[in-house]
Amino acid sequence: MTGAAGTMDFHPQPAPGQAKPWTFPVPERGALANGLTVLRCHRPGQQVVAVQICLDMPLDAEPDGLDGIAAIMMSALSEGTSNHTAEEFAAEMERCGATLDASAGYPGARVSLEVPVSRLPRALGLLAEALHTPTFPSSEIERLVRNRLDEIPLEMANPGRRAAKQLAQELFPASARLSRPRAGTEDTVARIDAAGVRAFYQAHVRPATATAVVVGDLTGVHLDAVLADTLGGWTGDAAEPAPMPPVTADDTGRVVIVDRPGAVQTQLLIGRTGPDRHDRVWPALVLGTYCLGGTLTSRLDRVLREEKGYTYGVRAFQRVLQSPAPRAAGRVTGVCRCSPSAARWTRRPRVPRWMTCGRCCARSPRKA
Amino acid sequence: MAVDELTWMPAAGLAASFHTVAGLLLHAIEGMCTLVGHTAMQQAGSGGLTATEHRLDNGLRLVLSEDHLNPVAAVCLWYDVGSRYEVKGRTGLAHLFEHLMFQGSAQVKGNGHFELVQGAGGSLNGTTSFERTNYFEIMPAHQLELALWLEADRMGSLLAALDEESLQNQRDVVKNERRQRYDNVPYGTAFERMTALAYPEGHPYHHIPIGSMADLDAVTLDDARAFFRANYAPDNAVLAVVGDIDPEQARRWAEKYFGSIPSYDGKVPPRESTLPDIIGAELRVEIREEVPARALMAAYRMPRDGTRECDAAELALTVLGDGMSSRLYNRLVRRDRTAVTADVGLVRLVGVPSLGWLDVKAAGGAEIPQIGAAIDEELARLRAEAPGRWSGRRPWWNANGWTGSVQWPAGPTSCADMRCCSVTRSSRSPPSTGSSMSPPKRSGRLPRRGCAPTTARYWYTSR
Repeated sequence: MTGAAGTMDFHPQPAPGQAKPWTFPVPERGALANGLTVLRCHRPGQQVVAVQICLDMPLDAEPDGLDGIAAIMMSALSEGTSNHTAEEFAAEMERCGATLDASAGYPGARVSLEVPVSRLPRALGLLAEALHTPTFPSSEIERLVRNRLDEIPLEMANPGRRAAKQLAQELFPASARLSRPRAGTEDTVARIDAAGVRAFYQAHVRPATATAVVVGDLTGVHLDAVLADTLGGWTGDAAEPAPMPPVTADDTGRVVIVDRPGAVQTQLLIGRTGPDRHDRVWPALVLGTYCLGGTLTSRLDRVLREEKGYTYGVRAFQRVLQSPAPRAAGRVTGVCRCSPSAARWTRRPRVPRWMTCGRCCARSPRKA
Repeated sequence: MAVDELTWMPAAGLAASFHTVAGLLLHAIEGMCTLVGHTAMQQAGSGGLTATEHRLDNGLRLVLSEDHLNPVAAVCLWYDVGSRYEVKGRTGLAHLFEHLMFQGSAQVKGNGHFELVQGAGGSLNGTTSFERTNYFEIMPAHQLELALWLEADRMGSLLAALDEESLQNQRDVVKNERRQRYDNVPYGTAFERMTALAYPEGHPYHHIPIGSMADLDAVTLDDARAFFRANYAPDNAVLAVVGDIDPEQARRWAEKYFGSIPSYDGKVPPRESTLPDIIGAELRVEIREEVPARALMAAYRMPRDGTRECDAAELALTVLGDGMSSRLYNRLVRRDRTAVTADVGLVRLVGVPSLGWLDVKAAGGAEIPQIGAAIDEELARLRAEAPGRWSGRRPWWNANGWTGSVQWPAGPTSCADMRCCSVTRSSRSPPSTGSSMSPPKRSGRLPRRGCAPTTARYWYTSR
């Protein structure tokens, strides 16, 4: 200890060492006999294997008036199969030490599995069962529908979720699925039943338009054999890729206020659409948005947080909406999110002109 | 970002992404803290994690672990200070101070800590809980030295840069953090309320790290300076360096940058926090607020972190309420269909009994007493029946004592209508001497029988 006087020895800021080369792992592409596209990536040391199944099932495919049926169907894949009841399936999955998550997004649906590599074959067998032989018992569908109806008020009470729903409604034309909540509204969800879910499954879930991505330490894993024994048994007919209509949006600058008297803070969302991720400007756009509001040292945070103290933080980011193929004209929404306190907001922080596009401001619910 | 207390329920989104990163790192460190001297750790599971521990002359403990999978190195500096060190009228100081640690030091100007780490391609944050505050950087491996230099600079010289302007600004930021994560979201203050029930008025764990608005307003620059002097010293910290590192080089750098920082022997121990292992009564509060659904929440005093009983209790809570096949999920969400969600978890604490929590959001027409009765039944069953493959053997845990429960009936009512309900205490037969608990064995096999001798002979319902 040399700090008898209460000070330390100071050293100049160190220079960086020699950067080590690193390249993003390139997956190996293949296909099973049933048409399932397979991307695999061997990552030595990653003992938990991540598996994603991507289904070509955009929400545009939902029947009119049944918004939310895709989300219910995806949740129901694991709620009863030819071999297991819902409870048995969940217990079997957890006995593998695995987590399974299925969700339906606007451009397509996904099933995610994470499992220790030693139990990969067993968990993949369960996953294949969920994809290939779901039984969609009426009782479970009714439960999921009721559960979803109960979730909607919880979402609407959350300032961020509430504002995001309003922003989508304002930004996109009413005819576009993007303008409506991903998992449906009270009206549409209440109409969903087991027969509708089965029909939707039949129409849209098949290996020929699905992709499996497997990433992890695959040392000693005979992946081809494991896949053949599991996902290889999934059958279905051929189909064309789902159409992906271009995204349109009304970017006219306007302010929308969702008033919640008594809220102690305001959630502010600003959004507009922009170039697709295959556009030449995409990398520059990502970087520019990050500099604008992606982190604590971004310009917006430096002013609104570190200088003014108006907010806990601002986050700006690009969200890929639909991006069908390289060079096609997809769209992206840029969103800027900020939560200044109500008191501060009344001072009306000046918003630069470029922000006045598709603005949505949602006040949050009464103080909880 | 310098944010976030212990994660309990995800309230708002901004800080959520950091929990994963922090969680990974903390796991590594918790695994190493049991080491003594320079022992290399046994191969642990499939990961083959190894670590060595060292101590500098000024008291700083150094933990090193190599992992060359990717050219990335992580630094985590863990200080033995948290909200339990705060005094009356200054709740929230430890966390506010964590923010001030990002406002510059002798050689780092303004926001330079963030700018230098991010400019080097790294990411960083800090977190504050009841018992510890940590700071971490995840760097490209060739920028590790920069992170060590930055951490040493603020450990040794923060007060050279700390000023009133930074304090005022970060006070506003933290108050907005409180609004965003607690005050402006439904049920946002539930954890705060339950903590206050589980640990009595005046107790150092009675309040959560975010603190109160009034106390945040009251913090002065002198408070912050005194807090730094009392707690931010090498002999009150553990430095972990993990990843694609050369351990000898990392050790030399730690010695170079931290070695001259004076140790401090004036640390004031946390206030007296002795508590019985169970609360010994049921505390019940009914809160009438405008919330989207009724909810039933409960807190329990559980065994302390670092004990085998705590591990057993966490396993029991996992069986009870974690995941899609837990007993409460199967009972309340799948079968009774009285709940939308049913979650249980454990906040591990060293200085006092840990905090077990339960959070059930009611389905449409379900009533709280109905849910409470089902939970009681599942707790009773947990005491009586081992799970799945262990069934047929004697139970191996104790469901432990309830400390309190908070109910949230739905409907637009006045906040002022928060009522404290009477306590019901149901006595149960004390366990026979033959039934004392065998905690989980090191092999990972579960013991066959018993109840923890230190834990509840009573348990308390949530209704």
